[in-house]
Amino acid sequence: MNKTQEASWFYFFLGLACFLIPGGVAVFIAYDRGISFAPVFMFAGIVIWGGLFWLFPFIEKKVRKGQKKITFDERDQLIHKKAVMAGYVVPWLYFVAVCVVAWCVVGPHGSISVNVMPLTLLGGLVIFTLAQGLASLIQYGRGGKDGEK
Amino acid sequence: MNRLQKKAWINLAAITACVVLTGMCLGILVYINARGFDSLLVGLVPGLVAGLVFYVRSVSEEAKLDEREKTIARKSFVWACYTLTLFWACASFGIFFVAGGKSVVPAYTLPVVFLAGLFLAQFVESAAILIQFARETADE
Repeated sequence: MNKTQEASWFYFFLGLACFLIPGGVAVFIAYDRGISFAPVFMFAGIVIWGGLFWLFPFIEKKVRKGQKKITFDERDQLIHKKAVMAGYVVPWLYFVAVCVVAWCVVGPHGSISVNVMPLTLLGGLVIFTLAQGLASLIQYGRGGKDGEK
Repeated sequence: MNRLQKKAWINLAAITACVVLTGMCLGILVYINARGFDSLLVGLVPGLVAGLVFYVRSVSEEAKLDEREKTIARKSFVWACYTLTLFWACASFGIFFVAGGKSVVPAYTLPVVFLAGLFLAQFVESAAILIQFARETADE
């Protein structure tokens, strides 16, 4: 398993767990008991974690700068590009679907719970992570052992 | 003006026209209280077809760009993605915390936030392309 595959698995599971579970629990607490310190703290945690999550590649790049070993070749770059594109298109369709479904269910003059807004965003982030990780793993899966063709 | 700069202006004009047109359609649909999938299908199908054509066109055009233009385009795209995510996050959580956890919002809030985010992202992408070219020209 090369570095990109490891990163894909990492984003796939850890990212899902860290966005979905605290986000879902925070929205549930806010809905059930109203706004208090706990859900605000959890949302703040998600935002901070999200920031760190996106910083991981940059930190890893800085840490590994001294090591001259090449771990990301042209093929990995192409796979990563396609995976990012898949991760971009899928949440796009998801957001359109959410807008259409909400509109169809309640009508334009109807109302939706305010919880739908952050939940939609969290869902979009999870789907982005999921689609990107899955696209990378599928593309590597087409090759032989360790993604080699 | 090179190919990428022209593309930036065209994209900005196209997204402005799309947002204005979609905003007008959205307003009409809200006004007539259109409900159900049929009425939305009228706007959804051309929108998806236009999006697909736009996407295929942009992918085919990307191959014609040189390395410097590709770097500028990639940086601008990353900035646009960050802006889009940040805007949606601020809008969603802002509305959530301002209105309160048990409040309700009109159903058209979702498409309005979605459209505003798309417009802002395209604006940032086009502006980033034009600014990067302007800075490079100034350096030379």
